[in-house]
Amino acid sequence: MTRQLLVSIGVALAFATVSVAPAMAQTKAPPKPATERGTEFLIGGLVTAPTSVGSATAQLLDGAGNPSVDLFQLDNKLGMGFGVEANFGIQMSRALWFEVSGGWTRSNVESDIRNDFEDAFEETISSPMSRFTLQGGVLRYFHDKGNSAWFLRGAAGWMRETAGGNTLTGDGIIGGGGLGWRHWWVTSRKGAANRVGLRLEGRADIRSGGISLGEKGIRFGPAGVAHLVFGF
Amino acid sequence: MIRRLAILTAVAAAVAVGAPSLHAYLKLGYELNGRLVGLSWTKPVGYLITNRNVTGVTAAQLQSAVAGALGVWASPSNVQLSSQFLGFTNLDPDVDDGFTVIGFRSRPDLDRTLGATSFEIDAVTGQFIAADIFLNSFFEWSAAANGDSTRFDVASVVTHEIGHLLGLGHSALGETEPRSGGGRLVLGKRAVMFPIAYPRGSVLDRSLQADDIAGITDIYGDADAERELGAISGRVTLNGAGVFGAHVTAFNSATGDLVSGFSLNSNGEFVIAALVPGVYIVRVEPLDDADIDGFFDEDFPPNLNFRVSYYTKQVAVPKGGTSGSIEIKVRAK
Repeated sequence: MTRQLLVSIGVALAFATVSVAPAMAQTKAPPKPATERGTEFLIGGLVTAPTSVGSATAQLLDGAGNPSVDLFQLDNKLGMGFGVEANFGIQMSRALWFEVSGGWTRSNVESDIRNDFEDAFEETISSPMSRFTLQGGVLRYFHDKGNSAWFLRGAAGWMRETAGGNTLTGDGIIGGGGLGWRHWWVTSRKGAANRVGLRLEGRADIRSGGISLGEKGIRFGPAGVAHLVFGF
Repeated sequence: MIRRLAILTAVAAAVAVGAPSLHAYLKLGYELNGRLVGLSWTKPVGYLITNRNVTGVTAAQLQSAVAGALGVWASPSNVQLSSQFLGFTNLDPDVDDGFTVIGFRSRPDLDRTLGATSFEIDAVTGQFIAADIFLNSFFEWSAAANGDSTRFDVASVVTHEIGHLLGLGHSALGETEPRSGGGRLVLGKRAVMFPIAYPRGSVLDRSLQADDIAGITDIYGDADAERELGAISGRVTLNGAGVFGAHVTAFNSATGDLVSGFSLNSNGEFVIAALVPGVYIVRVEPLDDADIDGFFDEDFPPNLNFRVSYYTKQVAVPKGGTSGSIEIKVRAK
């Protein structure tokens, strides 16, 4: 009798725990067991801000080898770019995640031509350029309260810039860091992903290499990213 | 049958109008059975030096300058070119004798010509048999290592003439202004093959510029050059019609290099070959900075009636390929 009662209480408690769990999950994602790593898949859009990519002057030389005639001058910039990015993250500890990401951005290379030696009209010419990236990085959440959390992210990797219908390519490295915010909209969804949310991030990218337009050294560029996040 | 083709530096250049495949720069060509054949050496260039000293330059110093210039033209990577010094001779340059002779002659009648190159061409095959370079000893010359401000640098002028000897015509990559006493003063240039020399004392033309390197690579480039370099091709048009003789310049803003060519037929078509892959700005201008006959035969005058213009996009030059045909629309003056 006593044993039957204990078993009944045990089953009842277990059932109660199981049946209560979904109610708790509506306000906060259930913590993963210590041995189980969470994973996330993200897909979203990215906007890069216009950035200067250097100036150049077409010069003729005098008999001593010094510039003597400026044939024309160029100011080059990358216009605002739009693209997509997909990330896959794996949880390393409670707040630390490792992410790999791949992205594609398209923007216009714009060159302002001025001061032509023979007084040609000043004009701006442009043509499209694409950038493909593959990066790995770490992300750390903080202020993880309720369904929202802030995070810091740093990443680095490889990039390929292409122009002329992808006939011209230039490889380089890309890295950078960002600050962002993640919010779960759904935390108890049934199916493949049990959490769905939004992640917003402001970034500062650092690039070296790729297709050069006369800029020297490392290029900096701000970017904004909005991702849909699927947690598993 | 042998035909003679003369190139007179700084005064007149008889160059083929319309190279076989519309190449960059002006390259020397020869009309053979109704078609133009690009001229180049298919064997090592064997040359003799006239055994005659002039004030400031001995025959041995001239030989050294010629050997140096041939070395400079052979130095770009992917260029296959060889030469051989055959000895000193009493032969004069600029004489049809089947030998390639380089030396000084006094030609006071050519008072604006520092030097000139002439060729003997096999009229059956269209290939070089021999070429002569004469340097005009009417002028004062120097072989000083760092130049002499009162004399013309023999190594610089020889480098220009050797460019002709190897098959290059003139480049228009320079700006000049008329001199009060006649002729033109170079304000600036970016090609050894520009037809007007720097003033006395300059030694800059001992070194090739990007335009010269592209030109020599286009003629003597090896298989790697085809794989590693690219080209820009297209048309220059005015109100829809092709513009002949437009000077087309490609500027690589990453390297600062300038390489130019011409539209070489009535469709206004051009090709600028042997370019380092990258993004280029393309500018078109009428030929207005040297005597026209330094570039084109008087029977084929270039169109000069248009404004300087730019192609409306940057042009991507890929490795081993072309930009795809571009159309540069110019406006009448």
